[in-house]
Amino acid sequence: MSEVVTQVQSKTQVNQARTSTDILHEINEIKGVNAVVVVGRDGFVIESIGHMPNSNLDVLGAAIASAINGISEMGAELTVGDFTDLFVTYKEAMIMCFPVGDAICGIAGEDASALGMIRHKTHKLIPELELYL
Amino acid sequence: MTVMRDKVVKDLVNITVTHDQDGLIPNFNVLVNQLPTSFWNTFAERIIATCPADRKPALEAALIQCAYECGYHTGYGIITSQEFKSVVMPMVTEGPKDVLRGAFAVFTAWGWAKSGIVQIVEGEKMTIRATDYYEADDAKGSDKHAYMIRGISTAFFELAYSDPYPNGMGKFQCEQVKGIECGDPFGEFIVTKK
Amino acid sequence: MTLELKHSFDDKTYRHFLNGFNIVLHCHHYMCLTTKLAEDFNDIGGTRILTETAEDTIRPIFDEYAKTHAIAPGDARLKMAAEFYSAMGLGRMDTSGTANAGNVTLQKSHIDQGWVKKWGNNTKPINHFTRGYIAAMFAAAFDKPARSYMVTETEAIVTGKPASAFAIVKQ
Repeated sequence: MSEVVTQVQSKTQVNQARTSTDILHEINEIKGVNAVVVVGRDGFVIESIGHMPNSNLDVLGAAIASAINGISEMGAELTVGDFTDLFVTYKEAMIMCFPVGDAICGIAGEDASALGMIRHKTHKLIPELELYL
Repeated sequence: MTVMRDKVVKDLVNITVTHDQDGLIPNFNVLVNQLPTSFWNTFAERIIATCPADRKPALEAALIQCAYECGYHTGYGIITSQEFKSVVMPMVTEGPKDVLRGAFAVFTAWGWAKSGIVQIVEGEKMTIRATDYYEADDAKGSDKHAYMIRGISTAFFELAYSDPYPNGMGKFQCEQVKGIECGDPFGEFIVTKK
Repeated sequence: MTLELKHSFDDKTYRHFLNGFNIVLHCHHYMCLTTKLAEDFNDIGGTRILTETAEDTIRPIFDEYAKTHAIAPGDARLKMAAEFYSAMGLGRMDTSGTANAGNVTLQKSHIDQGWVKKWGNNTKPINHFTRGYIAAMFAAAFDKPARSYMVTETEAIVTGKPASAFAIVKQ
């Protein structure tokens, strides 16, 4: 029993020491990910890590916010609820977006080949990220 | 649609700030000046360095107060100005939250801090992050000293959620929890009720 | 003389520059409250710190411009500095002087008019910033080091006079 309590305490202490920056680093280390941004609905880049070969992360943040605002409006119009996930591919990039509270987490990679792995690994990290914002 | 800060910043930085025949810059219902950031930083740094330890809290509170009053009056001038009405208001769809987003875009466009809203609990709490701000320049120690951002963040939040101008002062406060000047990757500021 | 002013904006840091110097827009509330703060903390040298800070941080702008545009020492540099005063939104300034003494008049003043707008008239002059500005201006004009000039505000718009006047003497 006491061992279980100790383990829980230890996990809590580790979690308390974690920051949004740590989680962004963890996402960015997933194979196939080039950049991760957390962006407000107004396009303000709250935090970012990594790089995009053909653009900068401020531009990525503004573009993601703009797209998600349009998609959210579409959801409202169709009465299908809030946006939960967006995935889009281009010839030279793939971008995934998830809501993180009032903000958006955008993940950019070179292509969709690692999509399954990225989805699997971010599944737990995205809700955790929300706790640290 | 919400306020897109990128568009606001781009539109506002293109407005040329020039003086009139009296050498003054009347705008946003105030007289504007444009001075080197080194002036504001050096003044704060020197007066703090000269201040005895027992009076330092009072001095820091006074430095915050300078920005707080400035932010409250100028902030009101900004959000009621023609520029704000034409650039920002067409994008406002979420009430005070969007007005605050617009105000922080102006804050950024004026060169105060590359900053924005992380989270708002309407009427209760706001978290701001700044990834570049002049108050962090030439930082030497471990003290957080973004007094200007603290004062102005409080003022903006009061303009959005406190009693209508000019009766809404003194209801909120702002704490700086992270600072580029002491080694953090960004500055973080939390506005809460007093 | 018309100043060549180059405004630029860095879209990565979102900072503004005037002829390469990082500048920031603020209002008369901020400037007047800072002046008031300096007065309130005058027992630890508040107004002296404000004046000296103005002298030290404005001077590089004059030196750089005079060097880049080959402005000769003396009157031309005084006029250059007076134009910068307006460009910064601080008011309208007339100057005259030599390396040993001079006079400056402000027909309009951001700080005085801002103070009056905010609190009404004051019983004594408060334009400590401009005393430092003028000290920098004369030192730059006559190639002297900092603290070479003593600047006294002899009349002030803030006290109800139509113009502010400053007397400059080499120390």
